[in-house]
Amino acid sequence: MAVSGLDVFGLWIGAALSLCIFSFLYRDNPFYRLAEHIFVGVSAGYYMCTGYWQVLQPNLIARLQDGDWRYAIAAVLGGMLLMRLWPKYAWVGRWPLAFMVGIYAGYNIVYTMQAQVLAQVSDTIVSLWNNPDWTATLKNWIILVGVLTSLAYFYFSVEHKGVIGQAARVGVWVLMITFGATFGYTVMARVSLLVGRVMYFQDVWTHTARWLGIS
Amino acid sequence: MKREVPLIITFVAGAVMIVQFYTLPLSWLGDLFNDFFNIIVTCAYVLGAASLLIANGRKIQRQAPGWGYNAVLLLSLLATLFCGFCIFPQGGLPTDAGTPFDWIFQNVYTPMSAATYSLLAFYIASASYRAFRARSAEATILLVTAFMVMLFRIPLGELLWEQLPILHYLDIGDFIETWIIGGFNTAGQRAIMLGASVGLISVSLKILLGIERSYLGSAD
Amino acid sequence: MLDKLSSLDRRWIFLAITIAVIIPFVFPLGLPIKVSQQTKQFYECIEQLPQGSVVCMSFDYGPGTRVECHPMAQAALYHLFTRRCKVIALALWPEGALFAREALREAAKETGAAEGTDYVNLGYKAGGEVVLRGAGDDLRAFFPNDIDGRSWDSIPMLKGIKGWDTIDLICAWSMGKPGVLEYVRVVGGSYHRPIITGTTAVTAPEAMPLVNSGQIEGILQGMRGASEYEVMLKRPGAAARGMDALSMAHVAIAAFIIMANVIYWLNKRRDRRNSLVGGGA
Repeated sequence: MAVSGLDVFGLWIGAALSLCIFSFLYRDNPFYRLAEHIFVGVSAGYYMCTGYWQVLQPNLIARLQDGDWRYAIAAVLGGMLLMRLWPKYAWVGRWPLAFMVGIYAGYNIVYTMQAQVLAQVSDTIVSLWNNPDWTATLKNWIILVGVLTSLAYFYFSVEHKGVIGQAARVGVWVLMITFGATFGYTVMARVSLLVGRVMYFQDVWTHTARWLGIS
Repeated sequence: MKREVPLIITFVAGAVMIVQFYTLPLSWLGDLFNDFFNIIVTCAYVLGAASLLIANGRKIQRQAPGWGYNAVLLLSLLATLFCGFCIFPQGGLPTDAGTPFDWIFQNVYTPMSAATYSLLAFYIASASYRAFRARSAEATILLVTAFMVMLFRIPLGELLWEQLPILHYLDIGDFIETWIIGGFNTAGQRAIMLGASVGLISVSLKILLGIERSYLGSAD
Repeated sequence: MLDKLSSLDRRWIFLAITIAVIIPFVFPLGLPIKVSQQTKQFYECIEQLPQGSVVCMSFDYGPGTRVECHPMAQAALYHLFTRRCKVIALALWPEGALFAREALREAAKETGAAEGTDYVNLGYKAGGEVVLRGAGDDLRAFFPNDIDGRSWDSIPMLKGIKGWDTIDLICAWSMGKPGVLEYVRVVGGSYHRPIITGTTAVTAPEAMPLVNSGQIEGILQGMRGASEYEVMLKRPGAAARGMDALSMAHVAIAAFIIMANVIYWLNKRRDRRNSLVGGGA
């Protein structure tokens, strides 16, 4: 694969900025702060441009140009959101905010109930006996007992004494295993990100070497 | 007016979303509202960039301590906006592949974002060293589980396990996947999901009915 | 000594982790990668698709987790194109659309797939599940153009595509919210489309109840899952390349945890002994 000078220059810019970010590991310093401010500026610019070209242009401006005036309502609501920049008129921004909150609330009621409550409860009410193999049976037991005892721990309307107390105690153990597994996976995720950066530095080096014709 | 109208809007928007889920004739209104939502959320990006401009502009104007950094931020924001709105390639958009905007994304934004996230690897290692102790039975369960997942869900750990006498008959990777992740973790995560979902539904209902109003901010 | 170790400057830990990650790139270990059941299940979901099936691939990740999700996307695109399936890419994250463009072009170069007939990138839309519901019965209404501004009608492979009902499989690369959960809630729940996913390792444990209930039919878990998938496809890529370093860093962190606990127990024993001696005096 041919590598151009501009590609190599870009890679070195990226590597230098990454090193500026990593310098924070030693302590806070001007290089880190410089990179941090560039990052914030570029991110905001990136989001705005992407939002314009991929959403506002095709879904709003093009439709208004086609004469679909229903979308003027969306344009007005979007404009009202910008009123939050002027403290005196910031209350106007509540209208689009209320619209968004209302839509999300409506969605949450139906979709959360369907996908995260009913489907999950249904998958917990499973056969504890007649399974094709013992592993399925044992797993069903673990899930049923684990879910019920963990829920018992989260149930604060009664004091955790007696049966509820015992169940809650088992629930804590199940939750501890859950958090342990999550922690292990979190470590894996975070380390992966670092590995990705080292691979990037390796790529910078190999591309540069290829460009210089020394590999 | 300042509070009543937003409450009515919330109720109507939410009610339409619920009703259109069940009744097909109203789905056109739901689709329209969805499109409006998409547009308004994108306007929030404009709001974010504009408030960044104002806040940093003010700091530069006042020459507040570290204003040079604010100037760098503004310059990088304006440079990105310039590339993203003004430099059109032949017959394409400023955000197409190979444009200056794309170059900024590939060589400035992506490496910096990835580097910032990767700092977490160091902090999670440091936090593990400082805080991960077997102080109680519960903490020990957590520690042992995390340790097993951390060590035996990687090729080197699996290789080490295979060298152990007798224990190597147990497929450790399969054990972690089936029993820890697929069994106990599924149960715990499901309980958390059920609890959080019931909470979310009740808060959503309170919002639609106007009982929960904190999202509207202060009274004025 | 114990006190010194228990208050070890964190920069020594940072240095140790850095060395642990760099060493395998200088001296590769070539550790074998075992394929898990979950990855096999994911592979089978794609393997069972008939030729010409239309797969919607959602790129819901940013640069921060690109190293986990991008190799999965590259491998799956290779898998799908070699099986003569068609791909509609879209993104619920602004950065995802550009990553989709990159992954699609690389896969096209590798497999000979053609833009417009084998794949299309519809780009990004804001709003998460609102987008998925809005596009539900008519994708075109929400995505009138592709990422480069070409209209829906001018793209041959989109003829016959209407709503989610006309999509054979959903494949979501997901780093958080919005992500695969939104697909499960809307596309799985209301349109009953099969969903497979590749998630970051952080979100994988949270997705497991959905895998167990069958709402997600296959899952790749983080960089490890991506490397297993690459091994299954006999096409080692970025994920497999990083597995040695991942292993070494994990071992280093595990060693730090053991060391910290040994120091903790030794300190505890010393304090107990001191208090006994003090009490006796």
